[in-house]
Amino acid sequence: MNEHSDLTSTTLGFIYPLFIIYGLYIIFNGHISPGGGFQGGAVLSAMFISKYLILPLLDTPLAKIQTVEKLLLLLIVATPILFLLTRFNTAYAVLNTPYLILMNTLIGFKVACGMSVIFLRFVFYEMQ
Amino acid sequence: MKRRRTIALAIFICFAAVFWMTRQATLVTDAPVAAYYIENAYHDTASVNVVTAIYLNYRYYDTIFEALMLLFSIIGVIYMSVHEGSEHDE
Amino acid sequence: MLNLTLLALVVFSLFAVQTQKLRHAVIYLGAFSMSIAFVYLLYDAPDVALAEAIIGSSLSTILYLVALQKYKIFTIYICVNDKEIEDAHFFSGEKTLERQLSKFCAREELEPQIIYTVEDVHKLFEHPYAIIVTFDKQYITLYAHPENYKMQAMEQFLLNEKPADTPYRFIQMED
Repeated sequence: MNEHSDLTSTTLGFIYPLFIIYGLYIIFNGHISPGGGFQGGAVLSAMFISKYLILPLLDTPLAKIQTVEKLLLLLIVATPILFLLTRFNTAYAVLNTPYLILMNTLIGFKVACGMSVIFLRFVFYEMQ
Repeated sequence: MKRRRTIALAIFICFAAVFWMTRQATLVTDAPVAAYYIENAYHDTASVNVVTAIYLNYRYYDTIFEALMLLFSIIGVIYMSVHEGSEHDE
Repeated sequence: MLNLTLLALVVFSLFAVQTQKLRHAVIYLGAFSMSIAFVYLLYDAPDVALAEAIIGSSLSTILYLVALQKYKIFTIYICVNDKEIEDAHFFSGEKTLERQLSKFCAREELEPQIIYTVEDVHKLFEHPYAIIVTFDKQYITLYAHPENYKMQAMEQFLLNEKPADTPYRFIQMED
């Protein structure tokens, strides 16, 4: 798996954009079709992980990703509390769809960040 | 120490506020809940997918704590995996 | 359709438990995840099916494969006396020895890498190796690397197995 393989790198080069489009589609269409934040985030992190197959190099700033992830968690906690508990959802019913899309996006990016951090940490920091 | 105490106080105030606001909310206790969700999900939450309506609107505490659980598992992985070069980017 | 997939689930899980090599077990687990995702789809739960398909068959498969790669790889050279390697070798006495060695590696949770070669023994000492096996008329000789600490266990194991026609000779190399 560590040797460079032309076949894998060319194939993954074709598949990469499809990964991104499919992941974003699952995230943004979570409220009309099956799927949602978690599944879309897992697809996006599968993209990061399959990058390891062609180029096993640690060029991702892990510390920054962790900070981003903590900020996203804060937003995930804050958004439903500010929107649902304050009864905004009954007062302004128009805002319901933007709320769903926003929450799905936040959850999706948080899951993508988290799973990539777990995987990269495991691969590069766990020596024999 | 002072910073930690401030953070703990802030979290406690948030918890108290959320608890109080939850007590204010009226509960829907009509008998079969599943039928209620299927009937009223689109009207209440504007979501065609009932699963999304449940996990982002009716049962959003589940979602919040699931996200928190993912963060905890990452913290666990970071503590478990030790490496010689890991001091400088902690 | 549903019954067929449920049967496939049982078959894949049995394969995953029964196989000797861990790599094969990982691939069987990936196939198991794919079929159980299909079962979820047939049970009208597309959300769960999506999550299972992605996590079970891509993320955890890659994670297990990487974990297996961090295993110590146990390199075994088998020296063949002839000038060229022929297919006939793979059915003779070397084959039984190879099978016993892989059984030992499976028991000790090592990843065996068995290489047949026609090179001289002294040249092979420069390569990274764990064990070099040579055959001659009196002995089957096993040279072990100085840092190979599995030699005692392997000696015990080989002597307990069905003995070969020619006796074994174990030599632990020194630096």
